Amino acid sequence: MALKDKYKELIDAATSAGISDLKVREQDNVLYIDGSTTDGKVKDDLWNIYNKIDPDFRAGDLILNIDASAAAGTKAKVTTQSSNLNIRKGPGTDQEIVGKAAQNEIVTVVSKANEQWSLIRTDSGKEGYVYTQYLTQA
Amino acid sequence: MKKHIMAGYVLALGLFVLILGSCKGKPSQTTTTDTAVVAPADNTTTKMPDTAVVISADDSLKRMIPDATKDFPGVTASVDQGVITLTGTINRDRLPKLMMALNALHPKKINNNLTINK
Repeated sequence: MALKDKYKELIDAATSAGISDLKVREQDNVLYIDGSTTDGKVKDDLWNIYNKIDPDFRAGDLILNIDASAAAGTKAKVTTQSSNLNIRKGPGTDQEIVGKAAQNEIVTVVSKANEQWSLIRTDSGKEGYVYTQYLTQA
Repeated sequence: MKKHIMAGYVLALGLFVLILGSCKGKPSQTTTTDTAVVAPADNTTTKMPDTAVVISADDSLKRMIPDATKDFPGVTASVDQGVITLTGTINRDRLPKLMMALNALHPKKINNNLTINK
């Protein structure tokens, strides 16, 4: 079965959710779905569909890359599992921790250092880099 | 005949001075040209994903994976030719977050060999 058929529900959902720059490509028996959204819930919904079609993501035939991170100049919510989010001096976990942001705290995204790290500022004035996966558009 | 040769020299000299003069006034234009040359190259790069999927190099994946897996202490991720293989254990409710972080690194594929609890 072609991968686009297997993941049709997911592709249709991404299309109807208005995912920006949506790209669906198949290469070497892996399907690549890329795009971005400003709504963190849309990303979660797509991942739930992925998990339903391929329980526990075992098949290894899809790379789903939906960027729902907050854009520069906007507010973002800290969405860690339970702990505080480390704010670091530079973009990398090898960088010194200069502060922490609480779970569910709203911070300002100053800029994106790269696809993985964002420069943020807290309301209390702390500034540094955090892992973008733990920020959701507020 | 000599006169013609002399006239030729003068003409060539004049042309040389003219070209030299026009070049002198162009340093800023040269910079602009450089920028203009860079711009189409960038366009070519951004157009590429439309056709081929860009896969991260192993070095780049190995550099990014520790950041992505830091909060998943039971998980080990190895990289070979763009393929990430996951081993170890994880709780089912944490699996999507891990997969979201790894899928964003542009791997070729992800082999999930994790033992899943709960």
